[in-house]
Amino acid sequence: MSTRQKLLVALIFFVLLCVVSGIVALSDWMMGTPDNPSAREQRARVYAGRAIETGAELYGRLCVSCHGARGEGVASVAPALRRQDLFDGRRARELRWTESNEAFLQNTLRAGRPIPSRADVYSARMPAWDQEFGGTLSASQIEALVAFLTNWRADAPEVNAWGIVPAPARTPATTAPQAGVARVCWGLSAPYAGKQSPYRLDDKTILAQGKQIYDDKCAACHGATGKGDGPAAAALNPKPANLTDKNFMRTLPIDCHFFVIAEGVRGTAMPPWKSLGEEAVWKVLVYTRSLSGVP
Amino acid sequence: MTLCYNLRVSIQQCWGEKFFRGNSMFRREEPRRSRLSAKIVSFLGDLSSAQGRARIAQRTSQTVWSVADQATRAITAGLSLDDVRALWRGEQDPAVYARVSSRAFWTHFRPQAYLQSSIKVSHTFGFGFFSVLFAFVQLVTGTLMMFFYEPSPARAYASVVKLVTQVPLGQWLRDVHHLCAQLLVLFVLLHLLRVYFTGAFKQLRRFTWVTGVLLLVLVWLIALIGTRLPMDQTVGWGNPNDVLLYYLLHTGILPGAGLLLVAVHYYRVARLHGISLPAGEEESPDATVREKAHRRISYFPDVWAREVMWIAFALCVVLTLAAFVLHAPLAPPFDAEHLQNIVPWFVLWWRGLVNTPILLPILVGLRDGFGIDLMPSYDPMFWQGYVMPILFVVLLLAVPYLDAWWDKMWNRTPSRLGGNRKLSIALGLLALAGLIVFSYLGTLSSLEPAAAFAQEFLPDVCTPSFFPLFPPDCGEVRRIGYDGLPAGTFEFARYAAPSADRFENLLSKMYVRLQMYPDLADAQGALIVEEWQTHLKKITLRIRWTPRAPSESGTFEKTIYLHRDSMYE
Repeated sequence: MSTRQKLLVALIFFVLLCVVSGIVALSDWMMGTPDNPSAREQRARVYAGRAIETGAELYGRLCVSCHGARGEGVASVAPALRRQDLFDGRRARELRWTESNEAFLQNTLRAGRPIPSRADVYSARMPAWDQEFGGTLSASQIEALVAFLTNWRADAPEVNAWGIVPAPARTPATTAPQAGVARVCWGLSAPYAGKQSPYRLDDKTILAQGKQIYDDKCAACHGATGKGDGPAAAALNPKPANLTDKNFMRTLPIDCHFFVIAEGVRGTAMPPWKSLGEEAVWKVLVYTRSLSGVP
Repeated sequence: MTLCYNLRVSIQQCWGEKFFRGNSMFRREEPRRSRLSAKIVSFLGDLSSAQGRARIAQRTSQTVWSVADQATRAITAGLSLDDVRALWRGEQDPAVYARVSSRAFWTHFRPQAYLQSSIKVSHTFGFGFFSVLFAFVQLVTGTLMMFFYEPSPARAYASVVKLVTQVPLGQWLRDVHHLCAQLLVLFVLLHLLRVYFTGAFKQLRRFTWVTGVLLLVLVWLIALIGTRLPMDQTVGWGNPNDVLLYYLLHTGILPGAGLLLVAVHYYRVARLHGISLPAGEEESPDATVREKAHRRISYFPDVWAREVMWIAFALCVVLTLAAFVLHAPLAPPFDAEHLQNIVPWFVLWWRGLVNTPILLPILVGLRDGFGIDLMPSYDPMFWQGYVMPILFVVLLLAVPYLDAWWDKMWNRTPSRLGGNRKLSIALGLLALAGLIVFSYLGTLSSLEPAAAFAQEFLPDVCTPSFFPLFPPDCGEVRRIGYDGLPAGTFEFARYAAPSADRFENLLSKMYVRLQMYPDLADAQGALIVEEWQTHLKKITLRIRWTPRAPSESGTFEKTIYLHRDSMYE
């Protein structure tokens, strides 16, 4: 090959190179119209779709235990998320929020609610999820979750999340301290005081049913083995109780344990579960006590 | 013309008066001063007569020529337009070409001539040349991406998404960088193999080999650390909070060290020993063959033109592939609960090495034969993951010295001919076979059978293919896409026969494949597709089988979500 031929071949490839660059530049950049979006705009849609998938996966892992599988909420635990006022800005305005609605959702997820909005209606406290505030999620994951939540916008029903359940009667904890008993149990009154389990603590079928409820509702925070190390636990303060800790479980008599599960613990993320029905609460209680072996 | 390196002679004497007067770089002329109005008047006057018009035409053409000539000289470091024309016609003027070789920055560190046989494509395959080219592409694309990347754990992923969705040509930039990174690792490895198998590391080239091996290690580390920077789910090693450290290693420290090493490596090749000749020609018993092999070819314009051609070809191929075929993957954001630990192809051998207890027989032998029990301190990650690769690199560094020592021990003249280096070549083939075998072992999954089945059809994230430069696999369920998945519960057993419908055919494929897992006795599977949200479907795979051990649960469930817009290939 002579020098001239080599340079000609080089020229041909450089021209091809320019053509390719031109095609990419045009498709990426210049030809975007609303009807015929540019490649870059199409990619933005692709990544928006993937963010919704990521958000769905995170929601299924971290949020369902309090807000329900499809955002319908859990009675007396946490409000519904699939409701119109959350997406059209009414809820944000109610809270005197002046920035965009998306920022409202994002910041609620990031920082949680230091003080519950309505402790009388919903007992669980929204924890802070962002790593910057001691949670477990990165900024990108929070964005993905918000993308998933706002994807309900089109068909979210009108739900009155704040006025349905009357304030549950709480046992005041202002009574005299009792030695060897957890603080939450002090001065336990009717109908909880003296309650006895209808099931034996070593009943195999009850244990199996209790485990099912536990895995479904409790494991997210208390962990699969009960050590208080579930995937959602890292974001919580105070931390979920370690149910395998014998010393701790000994300070929790059975009647008080039932009270704690049924009514939740004020000031923590432990929600009341009495909406599951008394039987279910007893079953999960039986299983929970088997984790530490304390009768 | 002779080149003047002796500065005691004045430059003017050396290069000759004519050169300085003829060269615009040194010309000092008094600027002609005339009034603009006088110029306009004389121009209009000229326009009115035929002679005047001819004068204008002549002046214009002179000006155009002189501007073009000066521009050409500036670009080519001294070639006039006439010289370029002569070059194009194939007329050789060694003096002119020597001027280009010594005076232009980019050509001054190239040799002025090559041995003709040493640059045969069939001898070197240009591996080293293309490695430098891809490294240069990495430098350019990497620098451009540094304008958009934010090296913080919270912002890194979002900044990469921003790069590909909001920056014009951002995706292309990332694709080119991703593709050239793989090509660079591949070509540096191939370069090493070529040098090893042609015995081109002997004698003068021993230390060059050492710098080359260090460069291979550096390139490998830079490429590996580069996979960490987007902070997606695919990387399970290292501390996610150390992303600034990884960023600095990837963009500054390691490439800086690489640049220094390339300088040493190339300086030795260009100034000390040149590219090796084909061994058969260099050591031929026939004197005329030896003599022919030493024939010289000037760098400019012969080798230069060839290189321009190959650069244009390689850039064209790489940029086209990156634009239309091979796209850099980006998994969902980093999630400590959901790590995939997917390794790129050039790290597979390492995973295979760590996962295979190859040191165990030696330890057992030591314990049973000699009573030395090292079993309690056997940690595969430490011994096989770190000690063995480091020892191998040290061995690789020592190759030319061991080789020389071996020749000396048997009192042999060093020879590069394959026939005289049978042991060396056998050892090289053994190492290559080990690389391939361990890479294969690294692809084997350690998942439970049910999870492995799920991974085949709906993997957590797209997994790269075993062969480098092939697109990743996102699973057939994702490939069918949102629109191809009807809502409902689909038992595999009811779709056992192949079907023309793509979805039903997938179900029958899954049915057949599930039977191929011997550990899953009487396995029954179902795919449950639910409309989950606007344009979002939830796909659950459920498998039931008869457990063999009481510890097995006998059920498996996995869920993925699929959005209408999230096109997977």
